Amino acid sequence: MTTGKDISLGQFLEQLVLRFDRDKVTMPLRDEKPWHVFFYSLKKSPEKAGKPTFLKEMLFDWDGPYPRSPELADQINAMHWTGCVKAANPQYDEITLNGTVKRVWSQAKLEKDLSKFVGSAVRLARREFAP
Amino acid sequence: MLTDCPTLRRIVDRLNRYCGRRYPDYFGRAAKHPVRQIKPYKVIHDNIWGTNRYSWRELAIIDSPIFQRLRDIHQVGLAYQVYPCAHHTRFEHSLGVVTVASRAFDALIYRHTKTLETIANERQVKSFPSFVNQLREELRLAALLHDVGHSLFSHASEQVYGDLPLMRSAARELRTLVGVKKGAGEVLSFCVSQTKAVKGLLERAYLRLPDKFKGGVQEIDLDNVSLLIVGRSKHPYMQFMADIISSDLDADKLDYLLRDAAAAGLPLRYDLERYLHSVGIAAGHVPDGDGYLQKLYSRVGTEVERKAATEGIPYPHYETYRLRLPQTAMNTIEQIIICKFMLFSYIYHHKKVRSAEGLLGATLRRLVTVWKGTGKTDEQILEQFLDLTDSSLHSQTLLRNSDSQVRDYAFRIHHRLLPREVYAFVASRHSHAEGGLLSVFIKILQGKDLTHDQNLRERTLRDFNQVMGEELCRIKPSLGSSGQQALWNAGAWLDAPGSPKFENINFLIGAGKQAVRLSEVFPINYWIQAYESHRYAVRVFSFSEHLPAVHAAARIACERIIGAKTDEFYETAERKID
Repeated sequence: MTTGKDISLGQFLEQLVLRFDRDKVTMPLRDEKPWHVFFYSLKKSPEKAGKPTFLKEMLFDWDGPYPRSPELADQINAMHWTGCVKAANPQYDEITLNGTVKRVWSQAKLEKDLSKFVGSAVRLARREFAP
Repeated sequence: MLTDCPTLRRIVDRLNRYCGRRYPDYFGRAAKHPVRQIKPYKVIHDNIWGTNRYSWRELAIIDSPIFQRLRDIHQVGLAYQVYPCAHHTRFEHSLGVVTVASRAFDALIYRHTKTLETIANERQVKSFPSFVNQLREELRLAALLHDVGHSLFSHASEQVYGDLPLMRSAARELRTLVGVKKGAGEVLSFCVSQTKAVKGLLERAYLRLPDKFKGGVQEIDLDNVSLLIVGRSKHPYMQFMADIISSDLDADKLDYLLRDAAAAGLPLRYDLERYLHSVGIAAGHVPDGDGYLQKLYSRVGTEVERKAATEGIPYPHYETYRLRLPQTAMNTIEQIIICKFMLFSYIYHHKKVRSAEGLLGATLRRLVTVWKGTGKTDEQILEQFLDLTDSSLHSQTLLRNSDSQVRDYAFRIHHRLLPREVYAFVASRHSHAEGGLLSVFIKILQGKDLTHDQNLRERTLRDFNQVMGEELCRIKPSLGSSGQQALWNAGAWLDAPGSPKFENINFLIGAGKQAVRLSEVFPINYWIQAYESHRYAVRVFSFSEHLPAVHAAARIACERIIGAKTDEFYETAERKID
């Protein structure tokens, strides 16, 4: 059972993408900004049960027009080029999940509070990702 | 500047003592260098940038042992084992960066004098020529010192000393000091530039300057030099200076792209003249949501207004001036990006380069274990790394080390007895059903994942190697009684290089409201992802004499860790075994 204390950024991203896919939240890919702004909001959100511990450790670079986490950028890009998610040309805006990957990621068992936190993060993302 | 940065201060103090002890004539209490009168400038000729002048201050640094050691550090690590001419070093690269940085600066002075005058007026500068001279000197010194912290074979060793807890802590402190993530080599270069040793050397050099030249000497701020090395400046208006030294399209890249390509014999070029013709400065803002910059400017005594968040800029921020290229320079930007892609493909990710550097990495990690076993602290190990240069490979430290494991691997690197590929997993090659499992596996190996307790990437690599080691013991007991021993003797490991970084995605083209991110006008994301998907490989290596055993053991490890079972999956990935 994965808890907020031991989930990693990469695993958290996988669970988010699974929920986005299920709830039909359009995920940006070409434009990274909404992802970084969304994660920065998560980091700054009030402490509550299930909030992943890695968010506390997460540092953002302040060198461009918005806060940017190089670790998050690595994870988002890797998710795409390894074929875990597919994006349609030419916009690269809508992400769809590879079937096998979806099955593997779905096997992760999240502790109740963490699962609730992922749910609230999806609601926040829906607002942040809106065009 | 380093108040509240205990680790950085500890390293700076340590480096200071190290310099004094190791090179007493240059940095000790009774230092005497430079011994003779110093010339106001000297000319040095470079195969890439031609004839260039270096000032007395730069010469004092260049002639000192902390810089001369760069002559013995290959710019592209062990790539010369594949490209026999790639023997260029960090020494000429650093000199080259000075030239390119000052050419970029001169281009800005020539074409954007008014903007610079505006900046000077806003900062209430008394003399514009003196202001420009100071900027130029600080910029050139930062360019000169930007790689001074490197150790043997450049990035191959950086990954090893960068993993020391001391260095991890220092990197984190620097990240919160300047608000940008920097590599271990940059952290050390920053620390070296902060030492009293460097300051003292420059003060003595001034005393050796003929009196008739002393009148024209421009004072400089060494704190600003240090900050430029890591992409910041003491004043937010001067951020464009830091962009020249450390940014998406900085002087470092402009030099190494041409230098690495030329040395390896690769026909890659970009149009520097067009870059210099186009490069400009534009007003903008730098957000500071976490308050890192506020602390930094306060520490260095810069009084500047931090603006509150607005509707357009949702974070507290500072007004700034940044380096910008217009859309008309797109051709040059594309050339630079293509050059970088090609260098990854030709050199940095070449299978034999990966093999040689993997072997070196393993040797150095073993060396660190040996040092730690004798009670050496992280600070002492860091000093050892500063002592090491590429020649150390043939010295008592490596080739004649008392530890047989270090000695054996050093022998193999020295004689180019490099491991061979057993499997090469490329994401796009596995399109059948089990391809998804490979995708999940490779994704885990990418980037430094963030966890509270342990790193998922490291854990996965460890698990894979553990299974492969245990299987090797079973298949070929002569390799050793433990998995670790068998892996070492077989030269077997799973290699997952970092994917190419193309920070340029966020580089802004144009200025003001017309500014757009590079990714919006050039499909760089697609290029990156296409490259990574089709040409990036996660590999299993093995010494030639143990190929069949490693082949069998690696397949079992893959089946257990990746979960792929079909022969088709492995036939796609396996390399030819004679």
